[in-house]
Amino acid sequence: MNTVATTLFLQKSQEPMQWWNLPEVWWIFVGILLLLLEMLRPRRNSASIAKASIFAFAVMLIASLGWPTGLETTFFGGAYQWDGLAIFFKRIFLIAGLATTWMMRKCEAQGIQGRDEFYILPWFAVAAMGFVSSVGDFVTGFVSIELLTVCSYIMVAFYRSDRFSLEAGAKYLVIGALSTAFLVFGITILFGTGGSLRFDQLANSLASGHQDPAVTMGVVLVLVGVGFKLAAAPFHWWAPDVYHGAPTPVSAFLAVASKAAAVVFLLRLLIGPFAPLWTQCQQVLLALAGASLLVGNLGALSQRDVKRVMGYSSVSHAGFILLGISAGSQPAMLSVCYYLLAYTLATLLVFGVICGMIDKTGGSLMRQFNGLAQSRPGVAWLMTIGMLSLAGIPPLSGFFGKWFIFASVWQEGMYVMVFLAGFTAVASLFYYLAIVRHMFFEKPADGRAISSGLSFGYQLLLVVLAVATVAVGLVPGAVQRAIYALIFNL
Amino acid sequence: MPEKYWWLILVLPLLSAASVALVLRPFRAVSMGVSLLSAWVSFAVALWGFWSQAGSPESVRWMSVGGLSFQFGLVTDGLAKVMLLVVTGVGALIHLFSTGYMSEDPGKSRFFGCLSLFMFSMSGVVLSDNLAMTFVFWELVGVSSYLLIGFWFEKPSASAAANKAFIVNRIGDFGFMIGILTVWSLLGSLNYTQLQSFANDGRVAAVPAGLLTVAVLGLFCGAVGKSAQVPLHVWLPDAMEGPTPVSALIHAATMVAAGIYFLCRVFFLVELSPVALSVIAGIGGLTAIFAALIATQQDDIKRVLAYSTLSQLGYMVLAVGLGSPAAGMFHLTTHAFFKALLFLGAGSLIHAAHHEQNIWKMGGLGKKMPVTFVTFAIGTLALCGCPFLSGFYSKDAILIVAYETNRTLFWVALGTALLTSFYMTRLFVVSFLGEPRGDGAAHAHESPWAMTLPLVVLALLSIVGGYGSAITGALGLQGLPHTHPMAAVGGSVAVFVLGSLAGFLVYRGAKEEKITFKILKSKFYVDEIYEVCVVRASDAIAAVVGWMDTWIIGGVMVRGVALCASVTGQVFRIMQAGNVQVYAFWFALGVAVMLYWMMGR
Repeated sequence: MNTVATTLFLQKSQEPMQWWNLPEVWWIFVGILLLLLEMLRPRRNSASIAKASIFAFAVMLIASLGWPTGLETTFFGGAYQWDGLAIFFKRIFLIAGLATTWMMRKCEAQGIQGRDEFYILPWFAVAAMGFVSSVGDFVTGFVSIELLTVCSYIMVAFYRSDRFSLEAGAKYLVIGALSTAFLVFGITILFGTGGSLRFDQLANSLASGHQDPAVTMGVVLVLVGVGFKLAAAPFHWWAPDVYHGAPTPVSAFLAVASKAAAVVFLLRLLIGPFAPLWTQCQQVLLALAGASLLVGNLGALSQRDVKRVMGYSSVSHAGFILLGISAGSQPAMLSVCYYLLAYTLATLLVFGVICGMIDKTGGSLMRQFNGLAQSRPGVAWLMTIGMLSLAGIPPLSGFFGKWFIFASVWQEGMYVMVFLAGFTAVASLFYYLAIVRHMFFEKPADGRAISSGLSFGYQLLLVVLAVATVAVGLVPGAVQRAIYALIFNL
Repeated sequence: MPEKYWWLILVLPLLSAASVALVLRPFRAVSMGVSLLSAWVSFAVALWGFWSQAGSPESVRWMSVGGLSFQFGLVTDGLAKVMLLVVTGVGALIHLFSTGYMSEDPGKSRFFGCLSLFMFSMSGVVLSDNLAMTFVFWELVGVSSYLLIGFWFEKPSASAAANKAFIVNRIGDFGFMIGILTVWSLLGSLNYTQLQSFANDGRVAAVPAGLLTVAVLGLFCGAVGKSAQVPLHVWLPDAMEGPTPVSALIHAATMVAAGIYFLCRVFFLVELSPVALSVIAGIGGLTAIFAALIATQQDDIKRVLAYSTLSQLGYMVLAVGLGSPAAGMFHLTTHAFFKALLFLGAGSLIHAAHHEQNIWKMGGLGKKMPVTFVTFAIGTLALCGCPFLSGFYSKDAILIVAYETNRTLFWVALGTALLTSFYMTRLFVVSFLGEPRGDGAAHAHESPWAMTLPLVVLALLSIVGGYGSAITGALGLQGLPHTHPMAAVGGSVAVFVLGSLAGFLVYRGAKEEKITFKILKSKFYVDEIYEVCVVRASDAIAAVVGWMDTWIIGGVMVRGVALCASVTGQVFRIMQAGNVQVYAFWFALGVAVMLYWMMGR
């Protein structure tokens, strides 16, 4: 038992890390363990699996505090890198996994037939994303991304008897397959021109041959694949439909975890093999960012369904993140990480509220949130905090995320982009506030109570997310310094 | 370390707001007491700070972006001290007034919680020692104003007004943010003291004039939004949907004046850009006369006062634009006294007349409410610029500055003063004199002491606020005129007499509107014009989105129907997801465009 504890809680003072105490290995182990538990368990009810899964996420999140931070090392012949960037994203994934599983439990409590895989799949998805955050060559990258995508397909289409869920699953599958095709095509071209799949070797060989149009083509195609996962326009078409149709916890998972995985993959590419091709990449990223900002923020304006709004909102946030990345400086990268943290907390909060409220409203139309402030003021305020943070109202964390990104982009002299982003940020206020308006200023349509009580645990989850959203905004400097220390100060 | 006490001004209202929001809300009387206490103690601290020579407390490291670290520090120069006295002093009085005005309201706790939040944010705007902090508090002020305008959210008009105020302000704040970023990229600092030293050692002057103008005009955009200058003035009249004490505190005395305060704070930058100065003066003058014209034809007592506020804010902006921030701040201070007085007086009337706001349904209230009557009269006279009251001195300062620098704007300002006397006399005569014209007015009676005491105190301040150099001396700002040209002073007195006389003669004994100008009554149709523009724009966006929807769904429907004829329902079910082909097409088109863009050039 003692050895398990010491391997689980990696200590900084210990000997060099071994492959068997990498977190992903543990996560997959937990996934398999849960599968076994499901097989051996006497009664057919998934509560025990759900509890075990949530508990295990909590344990792993606590264990992540013990990860060695000052260490930069590689495994499996360079295919896996352990550094601060990886740690930051792995923690985000764990937070997302924990919150998502918790929401799934809530969904089941609402009478939707739960099946045990619902709680087990996140483990494989989180492990896949963990590998993505540490990726060191294209093979690992591709396989991990596909593992994540396959898990997502199943989760999106999880309500097998529900037409919307199935439809969403089919859409996600087809568009996903298409993007995978582009991704693998791009990787092949890069392999053909660069002669290697390892990021470090590829960086060297591409540095000399970056005038080759084939390299540009490879880069564009790979970025297209990333753009799909990121839900960046013009590769966002699936997002509103899939967010709308998928089970709410899964929408949250796609909006937060899947997007974060795409961000870290993109960052790994940009500091690795694509570093010599920065100018080309920057142009692509700027184009994607501009398109996403416009499409996401303007598209959301005419939506009447909260989950669809969140789909477009997710596109717009992809735009802000891409904008930050395309600034390319060290502060910009820090800003992106801060932004992602703020976005993660607020988005989980919003989806958490939707998931908690949806049972009695039977849908996620905005008007079904009418009068929530009267019937459940606490929940309405939590939702408001989430919305205002996403809209970027100070002093919530979402504001500083935008502020940092604007500032770092401005510093690089890309004034037009700041204007564009600022304009769309003002426009975004309309749809975020629309939801607040429905909750506070509209009367419930038929006067019925909106929801029965939420369990104490679920309320706790929402409150913790809200407090974190506020807290990260109240001490932006401290959070930023912590991220900085984690990522750069090795 | 007495400097530390400055923090109390921020901490106390914040604690009050937090405790009301989290714990005390069910206990209405306690919430009210806590909020009231925090406001008065803040005022005491501000008074202490005004007379003591306490400097600024040490700043705290806050955050860093791109190698630049921000300090969380307080600025406590004369300008801040005067503004702080106004904010906390008027704030404390209005807290007291609200205990009477809101005594019956079921949402009393929420009201006082929001009021404390406002006091926190507003003190933050005043005390911030850098642009980033100012911006954060600036937005917080907007949030608390949003909450308070929409306080009676059961009324659809209140929630619409709250949204409008918030969104219009965001348009201004967008420019504000651009201004801040420009200042930062030009000068590398956001700290006022540092920027001031850059201005002194000529580093600011070395910046290209065009860029400096962009920066200053960007910052001015923030002031245009918050101080409701043309063309972003539309939110302020609607904001009168909020409870009257809120209108008095936020939308007359303090928050809307934040724009002027801010312009004075960064005046060392503003004055270096002649273009920006003339734009500021022009906007100020335009707002002054424009709002005064509209005010002559409004029937709702609070709306008349709201347009009057707009007009007076225009006056202050005009003063800053003409290079005299001292005159602007002077008028801001006296205006805070008499406009808060007028609004509270109006609140007392409305309270007594059972929430009747139409002046044509009041009348004869003078005899029933003597304290309100007398104090309102003093406020009216001060606003009209009656000699020897505070408004006379501060308005004169601006008129003299205008007379000496820009004759066109002087005539505009003088015309505004004439209109001001006219519409205020109209308001006063119609609502207080004559016979009661409505049920509410017929059964009115004087308000309780908690409401009349602040009126009396503010009336005293409106009388003496213009004397001595206590205010102007403490400001430490430039630009107060030292000469008193007869034309300006005489003109000011003349328009006061003329305007009041005209108002009195026209409206004495009137039972209905005597003069009608449709265009003024409809406020120059600005709201309508904006609405058309916004509707057009959103229609255009909706059309584009709709086109895409039709394209996608249309394609699906056509093919779905065609297939349905030949294959089973199961296939149809799959085809429901059929628009996926269209998505795939768009996706591939996106890839093609990307590839062409990157490689085809």
